[in-house]
Amino acid sequence: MSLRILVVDDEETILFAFREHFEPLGYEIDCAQELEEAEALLSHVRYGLLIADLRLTGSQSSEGLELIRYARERSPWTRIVVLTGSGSEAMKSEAMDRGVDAFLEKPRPLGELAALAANLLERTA
Amino acid sequence: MHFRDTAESALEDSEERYRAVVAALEEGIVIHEADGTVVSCNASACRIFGLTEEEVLGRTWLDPRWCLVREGGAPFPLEEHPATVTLRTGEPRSQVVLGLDRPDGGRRWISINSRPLLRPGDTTPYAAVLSFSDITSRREAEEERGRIEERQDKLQQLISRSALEWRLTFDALGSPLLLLELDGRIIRLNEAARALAGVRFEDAVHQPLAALGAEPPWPAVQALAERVAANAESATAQAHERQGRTWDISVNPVAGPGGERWLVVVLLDITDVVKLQESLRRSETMSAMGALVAGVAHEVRNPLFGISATLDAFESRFKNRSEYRRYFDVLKERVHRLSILMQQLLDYGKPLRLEPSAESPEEVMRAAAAACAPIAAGARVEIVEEPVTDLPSLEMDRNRVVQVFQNLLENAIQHSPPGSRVTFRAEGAGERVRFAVEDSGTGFRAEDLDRIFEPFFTRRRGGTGLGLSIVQRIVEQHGGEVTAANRPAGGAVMSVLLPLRPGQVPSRPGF
Amino acid sequence: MSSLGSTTGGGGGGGGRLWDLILAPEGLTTSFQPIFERKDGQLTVFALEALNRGPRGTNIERSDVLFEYVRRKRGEVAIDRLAIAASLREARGLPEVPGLSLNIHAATLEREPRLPAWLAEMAAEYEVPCKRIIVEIVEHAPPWSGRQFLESLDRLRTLGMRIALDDVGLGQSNFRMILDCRPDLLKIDRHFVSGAHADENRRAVLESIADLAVRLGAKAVAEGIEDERDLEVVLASGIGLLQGFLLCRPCSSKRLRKLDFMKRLWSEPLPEGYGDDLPDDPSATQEVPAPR
Repeated sequence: MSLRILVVDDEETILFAFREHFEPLGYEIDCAQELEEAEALLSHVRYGLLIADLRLTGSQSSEGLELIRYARERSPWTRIVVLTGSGSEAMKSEAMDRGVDAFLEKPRPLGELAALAANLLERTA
Repeated sequence: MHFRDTAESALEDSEERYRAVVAALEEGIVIHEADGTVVSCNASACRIFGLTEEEVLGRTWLDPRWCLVREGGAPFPLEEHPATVTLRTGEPRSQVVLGLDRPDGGRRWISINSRPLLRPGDTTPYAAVLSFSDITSRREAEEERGRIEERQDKLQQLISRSALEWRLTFDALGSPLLLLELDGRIIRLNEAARALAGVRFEDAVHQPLAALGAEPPWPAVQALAERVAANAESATAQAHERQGRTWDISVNPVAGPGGERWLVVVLLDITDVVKLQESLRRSETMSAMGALVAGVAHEVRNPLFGISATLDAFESRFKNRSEYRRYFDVLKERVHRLSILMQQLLDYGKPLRLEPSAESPEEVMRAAAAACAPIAAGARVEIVEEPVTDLPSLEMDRNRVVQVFQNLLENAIQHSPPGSRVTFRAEGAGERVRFAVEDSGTGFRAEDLDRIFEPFFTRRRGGTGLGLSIVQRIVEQHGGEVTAANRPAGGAVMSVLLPLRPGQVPSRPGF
Repeated sequence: MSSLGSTTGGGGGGGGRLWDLILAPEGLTTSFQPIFERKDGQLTVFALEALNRGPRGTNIERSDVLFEYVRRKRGEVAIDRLAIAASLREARGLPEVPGLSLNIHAATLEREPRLPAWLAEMAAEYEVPCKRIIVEIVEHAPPWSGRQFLESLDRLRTLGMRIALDDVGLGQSNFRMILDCRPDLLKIDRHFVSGAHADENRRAVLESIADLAVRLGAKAVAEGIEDERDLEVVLASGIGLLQGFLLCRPCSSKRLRKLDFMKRLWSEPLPEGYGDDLPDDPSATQEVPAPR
C-alpha cells in the first residue's frame, strides 16, 4: 500500500498543517488546491489515500464530488476521506453514494485524522 | 183686448226672462220630452256636449252618438239614464255622474240632476229637465290625488321595508360599523359596534363618540374621524387593544341624500393577519439569515480548521516541551469554543423540516426532563412534571419538540435559585395542548418580554442568544405558539401551545 | 509579429493560481533531448526535442502532470503557444539545429486554425527555417473530429515542416491515425522499448512498426531507451532513430551552447553524462496508470 497521501483543500494553512503533522509520521504528502491539479496528480501518481474538501472555490462549488468520481474511475486503489466545512445533507448523501470511505466535518483533531489514515492504509500509527 | 195683450206680453216677458236666465247659466240645461227627444238646450249644454244646437235638438238620449259611459269606463246602461228614470218614475235624480265622448275625441264627465215636468194633476211627467255641470277637471284632480296617495302609500311601504332590511344587514355585519355626523355624534351603530363598546343603542345614538369610552380603539377612531372631517378625505389607521386585538380603522366621508355630510366608520379585526404577517416576516428573516449564517459558517470554518489543525501539528511536534503546555491549552479551548458556536450557527441557519409522528405529551415531557436531569442536579433544582391525565396524542416532530422543552427547562433551571423547583405542566386547551414551564427565579424584565425571541438577544454572558429563537421557530413550524410571561407569584412562565396536528391553524370566528 | 496576439493566454485555461504561475515569466522551463541517428556506425544528432516543464516547486513541474493539468483545464492552445515560444526562444543561439521537434496537442491543431501560420511567423522571428521544424503531435486522445486538424497538418507540410506522431502503439496512435496524419516520424512509445531485450513480443512489435515506417516512407524513432540491451534490440529491428536517457538526458540550451565542440556535436556522439545538469523528470520513468 502506498504511503502517499494527496490532500486537497483551498485553504493553504490546512495543507501546511497536514504536511507538518503527517510527514513526521512517515507519510509522503502531496497537496493540491485546485480540482484539475488534483486530477492531474491522480492520473500520474499512485496515492494510497485522498483527503479532500468538497468545496474548493467558494461556498457554492462542489468540486469535491467531481474529484471523488475521477478518483474512483482513474485510481480505484485510492481510499477517500471527505473533510468538509459546510456540506449540505444532499451533498453528503451524494458523496456517500459515490463511494467514499469516510465523511467528516471540520474541524477535526489531526490526531484523529492520522489514526483514520493509518486505519485506511492498514498500517500501525 | 187690452187685458189679453197685457197677459200675452206678460207671458212673453216671462218667457223672455226665462230664456235669458237659462241661456246665461254655466250649467247645461236640456229638456227631454216623454219620448226622449231633446226639445230644448242651452248654450252651455252645447258647449259641454261639443255639439251645435241643431245637432243636440232632435236627438234622443238613446242615440248612440252620445257614447255615454259610467265611472270606470263601461257603457252607461240607458235604463239608468236620469232622464229615463225621471220620465218613467217621475222621481228626480241628483248628481248622477256620466261620461260622454265628444266628437272631437275628448271625454267629459258630467254630474246630472233631473227633474220631472208635470202638468197639474198628472203623475206621469211630460218632460224632464236635466241640468248638469262639467266635472271633468274636478274628476281628474281627484283621480290624480288618488294616484298620488296610492303612490305615497307604496313608497311608504317600500321605505319601511328597505329600512328594515338595511337595519338587519347593518346589524348582521360582523365588523363594527358606525355612521357619524361630521362633529362625531353617532347617528347609527351596528350590533357589532355596540358589542365592542359595551353599550346599548339608546345610550349611544346621538351621543358623541366619547360616549363609547376611552379604551382603545375608540380614541383612535375619534382622532381619525376628526381628521377626516377636517380633510374631507378617507383615511385609515390601526389601533391595538391592550393585550388584545388589533383593529384596522377606516373612516370615509359620505354625502347623504339631502346633501348632508356624514362619516362612515368601519373596523376590521386584523389580529390574525398581523400575527401571520409577523410570523411570515420572521420566517423570511430567518431564511435570509439562514443563508447568511450558512455562508459565514463556511467562510469561518476553513480558517478555523486551519488554526486548529496547525495547533494540532504544533502540539504533536512539541509535545515534549512543557513550557508550551498552557499556551496550547488556552488556544485549543478557545478554538473549540469557536467551533461550537459555528455549529450552532449552522444549525440555526438550516431550513427546518419536520418529521411528524404521533406522540404522547407525557412521554415527550419525560424525555426532556430526563435530558435535563444532570444539569438540574448540578444546580440543585428539582424538575416536577404535572401533566393532566388523558391528554390527547399529538402529531409532532418528537426530536424537535424534546429539543424545545429541553431548552425551556434548561433556561428555567439556569434562572432558578438552588433548592427551588421548576414545574412542567400540560393541559388540554380546546384543539390544542398547552405546556408550561414555570420557575421561581427573577422573571423577565418588562422591556425584554417583547424581545426575548429575537435571535442573538441574550442577557447571559456566554449564551449565543439563539435558543429561544430556535424554540419559536420549531413551535411555529408546528402551527403552535410560544409565549413568555412573568408569574404573579414571581418567576417566569414559558407557555407552548401545540395543535393536535402540525400546521393546523385553529379557526377564529369573525375574521 | 505574432498574428495570434498574446501568447500568454486565451484559448481556454480558466485561470487560477497555478495557471498564473504557468503564464508568469519562467513559468515554463525548456530543455532539449537529442534524437540520435545511427549512420555509418556513428551516432549523429538528428534533431533536438524541446521538452517543457512546469513552474518549479509546484505539482505541475513534471511534464506529465503539467499536461494532464492543462488538458483538464482545456488550456491546450494557450500552453502550446507558451511552450513553442519558450522553446524557440531557448533554441536561439544553438548552432544550426538540424531538426527542432516541438510538441503540439492535437486539440490545438483542431481548435486553433491560425496555428500553422503563427508557427511559421514565430519560426521566422527566431530564425529557425521551417524545413527544420518537426511538429510532434501529442495527446491525441479524443475528442478531436479531424477536419480542421488534418487541414492544419496539410498547412504545416506546405510550409515545409515535418510531422511526428507521438505514443505510437498506444491508444489513439493507431493505424487510422497513422494513415490520416501521414507522419514523417513515428515515435514508438517507451512501453514497447523498455524490456524489449527480454520480450519476444515487444521485439515483434518493434519490427513491425519499423517495417510499416519504411513502407509509408517515414522513419521510426524508439523512445525511452535506458538499457543497452534494449538499444541493441532496437537497432536490430531496423529502427534508425534513437532517444532515451541512455544516450542523453534532456539538458538546457545553456549547457548545449557552452560546449565548444558544438559544431562537431552533430557529427559526434555526445560525451557520457551529458545532460546531467537537470533533475530527472519522473514522468520519464514512472509507470503510468493504464489509460482508459
